[in-house]
Amino acid sequence: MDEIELVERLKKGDEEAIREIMRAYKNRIFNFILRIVKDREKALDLTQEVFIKAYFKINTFKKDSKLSTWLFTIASNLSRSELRKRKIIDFINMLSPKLLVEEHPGNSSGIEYFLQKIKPDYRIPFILKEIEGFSSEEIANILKIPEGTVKSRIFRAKKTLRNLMEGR
Amino acid sequence: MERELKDIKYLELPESFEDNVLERIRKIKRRRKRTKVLAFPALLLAILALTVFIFYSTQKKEYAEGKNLTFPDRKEQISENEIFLEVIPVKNFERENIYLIETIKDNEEKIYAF
Repeated sequence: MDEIELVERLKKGDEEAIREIMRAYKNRIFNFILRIVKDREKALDLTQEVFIKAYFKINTFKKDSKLSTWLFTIASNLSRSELRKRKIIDFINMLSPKLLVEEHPGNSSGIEYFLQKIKPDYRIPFILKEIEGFSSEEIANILKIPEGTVKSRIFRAKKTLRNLMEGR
Repeated sequence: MERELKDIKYLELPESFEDNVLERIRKIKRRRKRTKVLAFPALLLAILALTVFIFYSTQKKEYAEGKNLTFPDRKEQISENEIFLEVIPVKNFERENIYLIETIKDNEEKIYAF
């Protein structure tokens, strides 16, 4: 299905259009949020919130951007807002990452475990780049930060992750 | 690390996810519609209440301050002294009252209501 056509249908309030968008992006969005908030129930709720926002705020979607970038922007904003609400940004490294490891049973490699040890500021661009496959430019648009900052944060995240994995 | 990243798996959400979201969307739409329907009468009522409040508070102020008012011809005059009591039927007021009229100049009077 053509993305532009889907957006046009959504602007007319077509519920089937949002259903198709959900089918295409729900798992990616859910896993992305889960890796940030580390709470399955909250991640599920925020994923729903992403699509509800997308439905009601579709008029703010700019035609020159990609739908996936826009959805991930909403997801990223909601997740970071959740982190702020829970006031865990400063304490994130002190929290046990066990929960997420349990949430991802297929991840026996342990990379998810080490990913949780990275600060959210570095972790989010890293996930967007290495797991979700966005370009640095797209990540800069999603997170509303300069592209150079995105690259440096990804570099730092990789370096930290390598050090952690080598020391395991 | 690159190899391990490739092995990362996605948790999958059930089919019911879409239905739940659509249900929430419909609820929000219903709520917004209800709010729209109620908003206009509520606004109208608020404006009406405010108008009535302002009207009556202004009238009370006029009574209290003994503001110079224009009254129709007196029906009944009790005294002809400079200060006298009389009963004046005034359309603007809800009922007839007793007023203390103080003549300031020849054609100007100050009225106190009781």
